[in-house]
Amino acid sequence: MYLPHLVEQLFIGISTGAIYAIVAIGFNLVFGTMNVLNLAHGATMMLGSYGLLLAYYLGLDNFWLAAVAGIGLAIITGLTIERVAVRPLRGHWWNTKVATLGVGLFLENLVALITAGFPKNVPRPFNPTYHELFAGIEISDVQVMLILISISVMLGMVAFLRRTPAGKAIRVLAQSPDLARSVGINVDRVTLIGFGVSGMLAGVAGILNAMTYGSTYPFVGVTLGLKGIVVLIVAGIGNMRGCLYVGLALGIAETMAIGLGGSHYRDLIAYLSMVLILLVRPHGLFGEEGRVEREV
Amino acid sequence: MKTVVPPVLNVENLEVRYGAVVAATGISLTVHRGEVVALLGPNGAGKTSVLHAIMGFVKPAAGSVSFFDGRYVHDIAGLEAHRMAHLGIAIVPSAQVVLPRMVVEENLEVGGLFLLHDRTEVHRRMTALFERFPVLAQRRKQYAATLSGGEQRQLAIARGLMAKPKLMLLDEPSLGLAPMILKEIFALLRRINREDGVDILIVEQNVNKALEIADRAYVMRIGGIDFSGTSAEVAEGERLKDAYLGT
Repeated sequence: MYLPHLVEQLFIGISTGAIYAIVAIGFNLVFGTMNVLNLAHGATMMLGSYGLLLAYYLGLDNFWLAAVAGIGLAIITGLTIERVAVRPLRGHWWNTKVATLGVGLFLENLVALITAGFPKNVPRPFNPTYHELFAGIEISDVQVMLILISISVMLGMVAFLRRTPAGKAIRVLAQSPDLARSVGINVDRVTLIGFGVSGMLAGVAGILNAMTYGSTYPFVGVTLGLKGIVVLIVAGIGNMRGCLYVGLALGIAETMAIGLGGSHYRDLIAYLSMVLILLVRPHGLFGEEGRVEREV
Repeated sequence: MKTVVPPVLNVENLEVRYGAVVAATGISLTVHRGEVVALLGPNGAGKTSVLHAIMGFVKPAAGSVSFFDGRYVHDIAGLEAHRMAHLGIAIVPSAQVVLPRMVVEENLEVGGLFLLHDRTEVHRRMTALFERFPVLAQRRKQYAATLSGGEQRQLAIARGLMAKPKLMLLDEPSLGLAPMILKEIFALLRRINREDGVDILIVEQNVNKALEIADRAYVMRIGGIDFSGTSAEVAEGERLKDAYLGT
């Protein structure tokens, strides 16, 4: 183990962590605002990557257009989940969890059935070439692109939530559904928009993940989704910026663990740190209750 | 021939239920043009249930509610709350009055953003309201959670005024306020009624304060309206004491 290798792991950690952050923000958007834990979020990510593959299969031979198709499929999935598994059960916290879990399992097994369950190679926009930064430290252009895309997605989300009426409506709804109604916000419509945007984030995360590994499989969203939930819980529900920090920290910690110890420590790091942090801060690092506690 | 102007708000035989529990029944009340009307009553009389049914937060089990916007009479019984906002009914809730994680400016903006559909108009209204509420102007970049109770209430009222409503419904505006602040808020409501031409229905436990600014009042008692009259009649009558003391 030598320093350049660790620095390289750091870059991998940042790009992995950025994906975790996007997954967590997708969860957060519907959990923190509409109080629905969408357990089909992982399956939506998976559909994003398979949407890309499907576009290729149907003859679309351009990575970026295929990625747009994949994200489109993920958005449609998000909207469908809201209409089918959430709206009819409005307000029922456990029921929506069970219903979305059901939708997720159905989608994953459906794709497994169609594709015979084998992992599929996912094309990349270009083959990775490695560039030496300094002192023998190498970084691939795919990694740079992953990091840049993740940063722009997150900046885009911040701008959406802060600047656009739809984003503001989502933030009002997160703070008080009754107040949202009283200022003329159509809560049903805004909820649907929230699920659409969350689906889009899932699609982006699914495709970025497929680009990282060069492949995807029907149950890719199970682990990735669970990591997203870990980030969400550790960051504290309802906090977007917290998701970013914790996502990056988890990604870096995991890859460092791999670099130093071996890949079998990877998941241990995630779940152990969640347990430890929750023991000390039950509302998460950036959670609402935590904020109140600090101030009092 | 004299043309009859319909009341701004007309509630007839309203019934509110939560499952099998009847929270209020046989409620009839009106708010006329230019009026401040108070709905009074002790804890648990069903005042807030009635207000929530008028606001559209709860679907009424029976009865009719109509709203006159100056041109048309709208049947608003069971209408979703956000549609009422579009008709020109502003709501100032009692529990969570502001959006804590947004700054004062955004709290105000939100009051018009979804109703006015024109950014320049939203900003014009914001400027006008900041002139009128200098305390809020001073704190425009502060998070609403950091405001005092009285300032939060002012912010909620200012937010309600953003889209130039015809009717304002207030749920317990005195809740948690110190007497001095209370006086200011009620004076403000009176001015809004006189100067902005906003008719007001106010649900209140603080009977004395409410009667000071209200033109008329309805007094509720265990799920129904016990009696009503002008504020002076209600204040002097023995029945008010009865309603509160339960005799």
